[in-house]
Amino acid sequence: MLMKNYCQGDRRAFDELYAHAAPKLLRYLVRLSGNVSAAEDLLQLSFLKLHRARASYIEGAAPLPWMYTIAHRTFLDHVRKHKRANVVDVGGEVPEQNANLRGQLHIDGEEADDGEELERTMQALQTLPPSQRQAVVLTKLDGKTMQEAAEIAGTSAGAMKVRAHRGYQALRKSLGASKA
Amino acid sequence: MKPVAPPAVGDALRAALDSMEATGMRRPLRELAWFLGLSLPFLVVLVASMGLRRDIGGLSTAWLAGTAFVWLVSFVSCAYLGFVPADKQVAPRSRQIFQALAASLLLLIGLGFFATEHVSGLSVSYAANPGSVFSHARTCSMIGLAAGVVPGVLALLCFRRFIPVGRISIGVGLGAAGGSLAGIFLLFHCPISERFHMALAHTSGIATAALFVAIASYWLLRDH
Repeated sequence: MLMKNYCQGDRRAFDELYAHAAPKLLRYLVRLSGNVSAAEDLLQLSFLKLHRARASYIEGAAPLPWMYTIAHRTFLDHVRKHKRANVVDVGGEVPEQNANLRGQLHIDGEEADDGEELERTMQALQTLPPSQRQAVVLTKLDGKTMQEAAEIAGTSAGAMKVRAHRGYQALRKSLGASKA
Repeated sequence: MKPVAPPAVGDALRAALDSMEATGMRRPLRELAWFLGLSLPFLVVLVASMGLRRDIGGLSTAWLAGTAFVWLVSFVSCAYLGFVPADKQVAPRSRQIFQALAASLLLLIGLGFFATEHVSGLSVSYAANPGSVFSHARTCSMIGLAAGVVPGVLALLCFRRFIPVGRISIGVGLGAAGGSLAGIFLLFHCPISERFHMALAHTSGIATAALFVAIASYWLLRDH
């Protein structure tokens, strides 16, 4: 309903949609890019693209998966332009909001809420190929089901499961190597 | 996890919102109807202008209708998948579009290879070897591409405002549909009954048109 009202020119509908979706998308983009500042720019660009493409919304469709897809494509364009994703700044305490945005990861049953551990995990995440990184972020960090993540990525649940598994294994291996 | 306050709307977005006007929403089934509705007269015009095959009077009606039906199913299904996303989705069904393309190619190549008809004295046939197949295939392949691309590119131009993410997949779907339409035209126009020609030259338009329209979609819609 919000998206429909927004398409009909209701500014308040956009504001509500933004308030609901922007934090989720920002968190997603931070986890993909590893950089809060870059993620904020990507978020604005994503919403601008969404605004320009709002005529392509289909009444009754779930807007959030579509927004995630736009955000992800925006991130991929950013990566292509800059050749490699930005790496998280290491050192010092992780600001509370940054830590909150990056979220908490459970690797090998241990919660990575320690600042340094989180930084290491985020750095390891950046070494994954974009498709595996997306799969890990969506399924392990954002709590999406395989089906939801597959819809966002435009693939099958089976393929998403494989990507998530491979990404998770690679992440564990990378973190295991960095701990040694 | 603590809730995160949304970041402030940026200047560019705010400016766009300040000048926001109401816009329509996409209606995929209506777009599909337009595409089908305009493609079929295009097919009729093609056949009328370039003529029917000279052996059409001698061909079995069942074979002609059955083969045309398979081509039509390929046309409609590729177009449907290109235009209409899954329930409650906005992005196209990329995987299914590519599956439909592959299935169409396999089915129609098989049909062309194993189910041809020849009318003695009227149909064109020749001893098949790489040289003869290639020399006879050129014209039909080019027609398949040219006729296949037209509906797809026109659809992109007409509906570009409504094309969401996944423009390449949509381009593939529309191109494959156009190539299938071209296959129907060739079925009614080309008198060659040699099986390699039927299987490869007539179906090549599906793949080449799909590729061409996908590239066109990428370039035409790259700011979307």
